[in-house]
Amino acid sequence: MAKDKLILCVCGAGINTSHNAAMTIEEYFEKAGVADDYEIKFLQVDQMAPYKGRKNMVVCWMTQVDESFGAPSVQGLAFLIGGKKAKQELTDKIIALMDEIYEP
Amino acid sequence: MSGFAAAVSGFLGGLGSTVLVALVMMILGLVFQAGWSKAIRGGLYTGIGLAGLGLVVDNATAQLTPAITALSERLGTTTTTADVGWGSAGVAFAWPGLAFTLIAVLVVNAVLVLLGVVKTMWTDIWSIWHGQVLGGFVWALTGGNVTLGVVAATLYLTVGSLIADYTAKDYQEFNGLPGISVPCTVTLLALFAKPVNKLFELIPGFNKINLAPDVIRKKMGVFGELGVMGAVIGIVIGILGGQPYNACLGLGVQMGLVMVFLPKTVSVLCEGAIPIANSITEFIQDRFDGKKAIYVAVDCAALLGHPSVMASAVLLYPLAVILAILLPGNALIPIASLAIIPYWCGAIAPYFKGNVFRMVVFMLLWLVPVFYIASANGPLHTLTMGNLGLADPAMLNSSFDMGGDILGFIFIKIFGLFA
Repeated sequence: MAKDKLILCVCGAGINTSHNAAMTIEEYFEKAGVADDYEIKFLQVDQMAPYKGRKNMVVCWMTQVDESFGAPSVQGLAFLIGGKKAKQELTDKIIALMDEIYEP
Repeated sequence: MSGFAAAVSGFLGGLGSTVLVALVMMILGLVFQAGWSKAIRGGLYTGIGLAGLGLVVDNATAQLTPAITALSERLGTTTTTADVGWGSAGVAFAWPGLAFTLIAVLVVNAVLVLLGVVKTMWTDIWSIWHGQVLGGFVWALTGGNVTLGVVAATLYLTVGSLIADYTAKDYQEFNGLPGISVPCTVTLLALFAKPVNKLFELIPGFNKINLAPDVIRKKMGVFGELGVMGAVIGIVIGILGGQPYNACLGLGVQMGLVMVFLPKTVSVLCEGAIPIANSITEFIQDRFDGKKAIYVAVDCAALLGHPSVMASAVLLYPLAVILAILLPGNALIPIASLAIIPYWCGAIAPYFKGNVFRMVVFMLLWLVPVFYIASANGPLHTLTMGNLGLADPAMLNSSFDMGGDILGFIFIKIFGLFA
């Protein structure tokens, strides 16, 4: 199956915080057995414009959520500072959100 | 402890900083139950990132030093210090007090949280690097005293958690991130931004001005990008130094390289440190479960979401360079250090309610002491990085972030009394 589902992790610098989220999501996706369906990218909040309007994408914001971007979103700080339970819950939420919007 | 620490650091010092950090991170990963594969990979990537950072810093100083020397001779300025920016982060991972400081900070923080003195639980393992660099400075300043370095780093980071408590509500409200606080000491600016904004309110005319963030971003275009900005500054430095055209253009590409690749090497370092840092965070979270702590610490990158932040930063990139050349006696022309400016803008944005004009004016005022402190810290900055094999000790270097840190400078002066 192609990796047509995209998780976009964004933070202020695109160096550490969003990278952390991407690595943590990857780990929890592997546990959930869905890692093969997903592409996970991390970048600076400033460089998001090319992704505007992309299908099958969930944005994981490590800053405040910008509703005006118009993409399905989660607030992802739990990946940075949460315990295992909070990370698992947020992962489940992302997968549920993607299932809701997914169009093959 | 000092005899034991000295013996350990003497033995491990022979391994070189890139090997040492790999070993220390591996051990920390195992202690905090990250598992073997994560610990080994994490340790190795931290070492690789640090080695890459050393390459970029070495290249930057080698390219920049002759160019800024020519410039200062021709224009009669004192700008002789090469800017290594986040290259100073290498000190955090290379100095012998790394593991001691990490444990000390976590223990002190846990005790203070349990006693109710501090509300911020230090879950942001990454930002401990600021204190680690200060510890490295004190270590180098006192002729290799690891104990003093660890004490300085721990005190500095504890002050950071107190500032985090003080600023928490403002950041939570403005950035829409409930429950967080930012222990990274860039938030020191917040303490000054609050009263200065009150002052700005009183100036007639001045208090009416604002700038629209999206217009600024459009007008600055590609020049708002650090790679392009670095190239422009490199070329201008070459021209002002009276270099031939090919050398000017070459310097432009080299400075662009620094701006683009320094963050990449830091990112590799992060890739190594993240799983280990996360296992420490989980270790803390599972034991505390947020019972006593009121605020959870996050990295200052979380504060950069407001549109006013990057708009102010792109205006400040060229203005900071012009200020550097105009300030008499300043030794540092900022290039790599420009990358810290967005974080500083993020720290002050709530206090100016995202008013770009006020943020830029405040930052220019703030940069004046930063330049002089970064200049004064040049020799120590160079000595520390030289001792750890991170930069050529023969060429002066410094940075905004830790070299120009006002709080850190106070600590260096106090701990210098023990030298």
